[in-house]
Amino acid sequence: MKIRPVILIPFLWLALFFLVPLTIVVRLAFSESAQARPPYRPAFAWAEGWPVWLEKAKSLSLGNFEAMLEETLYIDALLSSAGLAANGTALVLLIAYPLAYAIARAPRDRRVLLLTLVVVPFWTSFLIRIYAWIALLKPEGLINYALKSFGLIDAPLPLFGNHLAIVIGIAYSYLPFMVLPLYATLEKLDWSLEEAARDLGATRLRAFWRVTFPQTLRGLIVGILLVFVPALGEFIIPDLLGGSDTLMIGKVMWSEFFGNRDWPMAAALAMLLLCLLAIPLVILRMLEDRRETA
Amino acid sequence: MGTQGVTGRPPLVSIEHVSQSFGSVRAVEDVSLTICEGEFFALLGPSGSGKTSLMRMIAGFGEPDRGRILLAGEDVTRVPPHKRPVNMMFQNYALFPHLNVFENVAFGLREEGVPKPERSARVDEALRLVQMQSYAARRTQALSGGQKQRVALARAIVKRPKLLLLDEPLAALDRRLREETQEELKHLQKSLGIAFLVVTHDQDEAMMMADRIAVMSAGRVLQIGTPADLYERPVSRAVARFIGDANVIEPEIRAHLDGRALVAVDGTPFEIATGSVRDFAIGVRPEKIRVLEPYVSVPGSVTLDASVEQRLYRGDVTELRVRTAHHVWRAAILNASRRTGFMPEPGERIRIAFAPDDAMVLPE
Repeated sequence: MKIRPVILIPFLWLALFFLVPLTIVVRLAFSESAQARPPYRPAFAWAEGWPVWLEKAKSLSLGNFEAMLEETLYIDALLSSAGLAANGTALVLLIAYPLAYAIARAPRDRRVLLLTLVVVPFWTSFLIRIYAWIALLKPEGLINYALKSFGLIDAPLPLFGNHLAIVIGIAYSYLPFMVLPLYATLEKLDWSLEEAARDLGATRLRAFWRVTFPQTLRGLIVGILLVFVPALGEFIIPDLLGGSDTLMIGKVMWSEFFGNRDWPMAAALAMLLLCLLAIPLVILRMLEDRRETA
Repeated sequence: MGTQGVTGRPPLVSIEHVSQSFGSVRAVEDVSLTICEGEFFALLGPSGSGKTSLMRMIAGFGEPDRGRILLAGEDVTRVPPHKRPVNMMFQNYALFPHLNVFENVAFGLREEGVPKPERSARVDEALRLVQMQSYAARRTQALSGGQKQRVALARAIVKRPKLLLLDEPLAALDRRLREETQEELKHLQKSLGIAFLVVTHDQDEAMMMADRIAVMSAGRVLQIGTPADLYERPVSRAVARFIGDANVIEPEIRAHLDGRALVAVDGTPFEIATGSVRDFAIGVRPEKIRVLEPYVSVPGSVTLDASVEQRLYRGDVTELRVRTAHHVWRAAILNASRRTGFMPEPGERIRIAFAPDDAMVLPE
């Protein structure tokens, strides 16, 4: 098989901006932190060459990974991140599914406009939009002010500086990542199938649940991955909306790297996260293989 | 006319003055008809004639703007589709892609809450009726068009509806399979005793299968009758043209007397029975026209001088396009009679003749 030069471009891109940084992170993760500049004692020196690297690999320092398991902070941060990302993903799903469904069933000429409206907010800087949420959610913010003005509440609701704020932030920020794959799946569906189900005795809701929903599982899983994976490592949303006591793995990594200047620890955490996130992707891959052979 | 059912059978569906519009488009206009129990009924018309809209209203998809629909004496005009004792076979079959053949057929029974052992027995029975029992575990995507059609049919009959709706049931099949399936459908309908309502644009299909046909055009029913009624006694120019492609000629009407009229075509006068109708066209079937050598005349027939414009060989017949003084006609010569008969070439001068009794009076 002849490989065309055009195909080389993405490969080169991946090699340059994924493999090389990954190698640097792996090397960092197995190094020890030190009072130096840069602040670590490298496990491998670039100049040593292959034979020495192989020799060294046999007696690698796993200190950072051992520390990670001993120190509950990291595990707690990981669990709490997973919880927040899961709640955020669930909220995204609750909003995105009806939205994608409505857009897919809108008249053809209106669908592009509606999809554009979903994406339009993302033309503004992410940071600015998260700052705007501070103005909405804080105790003297717009939402609490409006609720108070209408006399619905006496004291401001605790919307800001807690887990709820992070979940809202995630739901807001990642909405299009769920809407788009769901829309792509729903848009291809044959609506006469729902009619056939209703003709055979199913109510509208049952027809949706037994006929439409099972056919959108693929888009649903893709959407969940697209939201959950980046939300798990999210740093800006917990940092700006979450307040000081929220523990998310992205924030912990940030403080290891910039606060403690423990680069190897931060790198080891990044690797752990990467491995954990690879698990759902592998499962999805396996499910798809099974579906194709079925 | 035609709203009464076939004698001896009680009416199953009564459609009473039903109209439906989509925006400014009037899809169905003041349609009334009755389908009897156990009857094979066809809605025949070109696309856009409103036949599909009418069928969908019977299934419960889309409500009429005016009029009402009765099913077994009960007003179902506003009843949602899942509560109607009617099932439909969709044009594209609408099989559920995530379910296998068995699960597709079992779908309706599961919704109905039929217990599992009975459900499975009834699915097997339905699949056996359409000769698909060995495909129960197959995925629907792996089936051929004809097999999909059978599964869709099994899925629609398994709930034992009072009325089965079939939307262009044979349109997606190739010709040979279509003819076979026509006979099978007819046979199945008779053995199940369920009333069938078929929507089709194909007049041969409707004529072959249906007990009665409603011819539709532009949202209206033009005529309802048995295939023979429609072919031999069409009431309108449109029906005469649509069913069997008659020559529709506007004659010169000279006089009326005692239910008969004196008319002339190309100046040749003849008398026909018209009843009370005063304004009409005449329709002559291509096979009722005799093609003669010039100067031959047939006593008692209307004989016209003509010239052949075109000759089309169609296997069983040869079709001629001929021109007389003021009209263009289509005449069909049976190829079986070719050896003895006369077969003119294009450009040749000939004569055509038809019996006055073969001229159908078309009031509309």
